[in-house]
Amino acid sequence: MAILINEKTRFLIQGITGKQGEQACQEMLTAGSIVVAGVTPGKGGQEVLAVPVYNTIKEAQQKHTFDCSVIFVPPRVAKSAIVEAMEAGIPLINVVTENIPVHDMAYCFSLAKEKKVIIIGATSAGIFSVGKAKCGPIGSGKAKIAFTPGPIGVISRSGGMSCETSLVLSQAGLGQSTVVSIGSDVLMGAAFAELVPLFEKDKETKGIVLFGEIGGTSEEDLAAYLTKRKEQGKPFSKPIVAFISGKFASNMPGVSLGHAGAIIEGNKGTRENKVKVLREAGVVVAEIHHDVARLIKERIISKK
Amino acid sequence: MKLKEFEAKELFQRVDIPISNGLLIKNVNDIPPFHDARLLKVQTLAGGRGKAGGVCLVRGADEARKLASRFLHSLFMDEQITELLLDEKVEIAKELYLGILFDTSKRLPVFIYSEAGGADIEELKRRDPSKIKLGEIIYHHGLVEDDCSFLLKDSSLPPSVQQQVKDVMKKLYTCFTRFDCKMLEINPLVVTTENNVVAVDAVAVLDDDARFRWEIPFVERTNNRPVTKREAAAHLIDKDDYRGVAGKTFVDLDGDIAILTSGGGASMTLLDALVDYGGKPANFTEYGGNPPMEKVEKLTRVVLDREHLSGLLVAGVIANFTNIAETLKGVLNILIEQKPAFPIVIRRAGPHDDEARVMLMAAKEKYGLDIHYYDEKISLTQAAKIMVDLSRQYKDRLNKKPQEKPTKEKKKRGKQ
Repeated sequence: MAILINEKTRFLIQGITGKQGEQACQEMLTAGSIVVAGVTPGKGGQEVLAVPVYNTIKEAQQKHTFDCSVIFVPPRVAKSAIVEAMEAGIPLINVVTENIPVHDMAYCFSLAKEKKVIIIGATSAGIFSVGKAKCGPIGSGKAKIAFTPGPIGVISRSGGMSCETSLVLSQAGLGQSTVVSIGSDVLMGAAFAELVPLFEKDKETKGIVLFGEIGGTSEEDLAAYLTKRKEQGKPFSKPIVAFISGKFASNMPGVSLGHAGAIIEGNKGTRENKVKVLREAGVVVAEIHHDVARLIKERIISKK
Repeated sequence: MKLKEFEAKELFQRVDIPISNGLLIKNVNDIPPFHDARLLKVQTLAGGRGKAGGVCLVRGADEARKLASRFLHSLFMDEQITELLLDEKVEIAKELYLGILFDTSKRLPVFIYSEAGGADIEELKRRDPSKIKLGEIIYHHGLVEDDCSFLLKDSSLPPSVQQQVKDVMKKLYTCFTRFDCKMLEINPLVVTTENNVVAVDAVAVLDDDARFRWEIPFVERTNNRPVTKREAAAHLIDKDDYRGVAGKTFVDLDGDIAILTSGGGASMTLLDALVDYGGKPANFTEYGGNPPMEKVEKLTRVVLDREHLSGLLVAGVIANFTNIAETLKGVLNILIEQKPAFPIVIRRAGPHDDEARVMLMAAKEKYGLDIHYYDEKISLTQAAKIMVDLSRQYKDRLNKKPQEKPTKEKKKRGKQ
């Protein structure tokens, strides 16, 4: 098993004819993913690595069915591509595109909630169910060596560090079930709190390793979720180890959001607070990044 | 990007939010003759200027000019002041607070409204949170009548004033979406003694990712200070070339180790380690997404444009797409041009890294550059430690021979 995607997932690539889209398509096929079709407006009828290209998703759906769409279109038109995928009823959308305006993503998230669509990203490096399937650029080329199949679920706010975290785990003899790069934009799609329940249900996953960062509230949201579970008498059943980067960056001059930011977020967003609330909620927090491997290993073994 | 008060009010004006009558002062001579009482307001990016003495009551032009000449072009709260606002003194009956921003947890815009506005709004949140109303907006529905009514449910204002506040809410939301704001704030939103509603102050943060559709091309700045020369140069690299990212984030720092990182999360993890080991970064910047060689060249030039450097650390995670040989060639070209004497530590792996290794080792030999290259077998944090150690040794050598020029130093180590 794995979460989100597996060897049976049927993928659509939006923006398949672009350089990045085509490269990812090739890497996805190599990793065993079923890439059914691609969409690029105006390029219908072409083929990319024998994958048929259509002008619209509607057109593609006359011949195919999709479980997941991967978005590679430029930031200015990303919103319309994501909306098109949602309107077409695709239940999982992985947005790889970077620099999408926050208002465009706000629109997408609000619509996704209504339509019960899962969005991963934007600025996601992809999803990798190791040994089964992958989407997005994650684990391409030489970066493949970082990933080995195994019992650890990985969720990372940094694309690069999803690879580095897997590398550290693999070097310690711990493979990964699914690695999810969730991006780190102001507004993020499904994040820690939404994804750990999926790993909990996944029989293959024995432990979860997170890479968090300063800013935003996704670590605090996870802590709140775990605390709620505890209060309900159904404590989260798998060990979670996290590393939160940004000790130094906290001291760099940052943009102040003024009163409004303080009213909504209070002291959320700081590394100090994230580490504190995660520990209170039962998450083990590593001080040095490569330590996550040792810490999760100890906890998996003690569980057996 | 955060705007100053007068810039934020420019946005307000375009959506017809009533604002206090003000005049922008960039020069003492901009102050016209007047005799009544007005407010002279320092234009800062940081908040809290009122408490720091940046909002002054002036009676007549003489007093205003005297004060203006003191503020203009001097430092106030660590900011170089280039503008003042000579503002109408509004007769205040009540101060309200109105703000809007994204709730990152709910992924929706949220209105914040309070009838106890003013400087102590954050304090109020601790003391009496019931006096602050929060209203979520379903983005794809937009602001609806019910949202405003909800915020004004417990209002103690007379109906005519409530109607004006509601009007400002609608216009503020229009402003929020039309100008791609990440955050807007009116504090105070004043109810005058004549029962008019007027925005007296304004805060706005715009979304840089939407710059391509900004109606007003505001001048760029980072953080709470104007951009430095290096920051401006770095940002320019990314502006007109969409291929990959280089220099979009650039922050000048106090240290002596130049930094070129790849991948946001990696950069932060790397800097955490560098500082833990006792190193001091001279900057923070990133490149990634397979930028062309020229972009990396330009960024390297900016990164090395600093005196008394004691090292260059080029590091990133294993690249998916980024051509390691091509991007490192960009770094190397500038190193060959400048021939620095300090140690250069490179930890990069990914497509074409074998080529990169050959290229770097050849250049090390030929030009006497002190390059140390590693791939994924050394972790990021180990690379940071190697950099700090080598930089320390380099500084020790320099200190022992203060009379020698760095060029001699360089020749010596070229023979290694």
